[in-house]
Amino acid sequence: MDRQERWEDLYRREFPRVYRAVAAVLRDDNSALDAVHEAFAEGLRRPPPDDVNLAGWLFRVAVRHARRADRRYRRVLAAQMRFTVSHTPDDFHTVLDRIEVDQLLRTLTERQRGIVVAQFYLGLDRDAIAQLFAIRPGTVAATLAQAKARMRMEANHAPSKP
Amino acid sequence: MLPQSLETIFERDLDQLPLPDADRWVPKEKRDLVPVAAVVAFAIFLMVGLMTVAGMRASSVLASPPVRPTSSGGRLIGPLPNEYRNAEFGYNLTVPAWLRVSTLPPANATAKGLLHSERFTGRSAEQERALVAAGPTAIPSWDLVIEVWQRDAFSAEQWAVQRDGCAAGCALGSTVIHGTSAVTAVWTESTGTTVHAFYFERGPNILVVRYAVGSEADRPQDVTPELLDQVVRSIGLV
Repeated sequence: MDRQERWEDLYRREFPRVYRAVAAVLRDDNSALDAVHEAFAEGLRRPPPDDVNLAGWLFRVAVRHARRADRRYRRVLAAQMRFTVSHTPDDFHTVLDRIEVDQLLRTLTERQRGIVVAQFYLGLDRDAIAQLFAIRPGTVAATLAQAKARMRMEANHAPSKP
Repeated sequence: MLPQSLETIFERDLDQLPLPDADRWVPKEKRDLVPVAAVVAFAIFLMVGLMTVAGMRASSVLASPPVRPTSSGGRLIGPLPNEYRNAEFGYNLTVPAWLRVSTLPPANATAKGLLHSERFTGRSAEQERALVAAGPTAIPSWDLVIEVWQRDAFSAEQWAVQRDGCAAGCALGSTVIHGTSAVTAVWTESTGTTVHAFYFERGPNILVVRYAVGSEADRPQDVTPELLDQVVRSIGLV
């Protein structure tokens, strides 16, 4: 199996988990799909140094790409140009509105969401998250503590789900 | 209070998020090149044979455009498309047999930062010469132009707006073609020609694909906006 085939195999295997994680952070399915596609393409061009935690690598590259893309789009919007993006049918947002996790995540910043999703959904430990986001483990711990406190507060105030 | 652990809640909820349709994210299987090459070789062999039988000179195979859709016994028969590959700049396209690569130099051949340019046209060599004689045209209508530029740290959007023709009234957008993101731009030139452009960031370079929809009178046979869009969307970047 050559490098491209191996990478495609990994992509097929990890896509559902990575896509959902990115979509939860970005809270948008189209942006998440573009971002994960971009991460996959970057992996083909410049593969990660080793095979450890490839899902985390895809997640991090996708989130980084989405941030860059978001900045670029805002610049164009600021230039008052007409901007059109096609959207797929909206059952993604219906589910997102329904699930409890989104109620919690929407109270966080995008950076906090990235770290929280990396830990609680992708199962990465603090050192791995620190490495992926290029921050210190202490910063990860502090961010998680703040995020959890905020989510608990939200859970206490939110009406209980049936 | 949260009744369950955060891990449980995250898994339970996020696993409910629907995935996109498989054709939007599953990488396409690699094509088996041997059967494709055999089919193409057989088609060429058959075409040359038929022309010889019809008393045509073999050199006329090089005439352009070579073959077109035709009707036989009330059925529409389309010639096999060509798989076009540019190894140097890492892209490939599926091109209908009635489009060919123009041999005329591009109007902007000496532009700074232009690394590569080629144009697919449905015009005959004679029609092309007449077009050039009428005056230089950066984007001849109804042709498909592919260019590779050094992008000098410009993003695709910046390139469209600042280096290409996407000015006031231009519609910027984005698309994903075979897993690769592209910025799109559509604008209308003063001549009334509508340009459709696609910008792919490729490391230090940018790959630009454009086609221009012009007047019906200039439209080469069997070249339509839908066909040109289909060719653009066949692009594979390697």
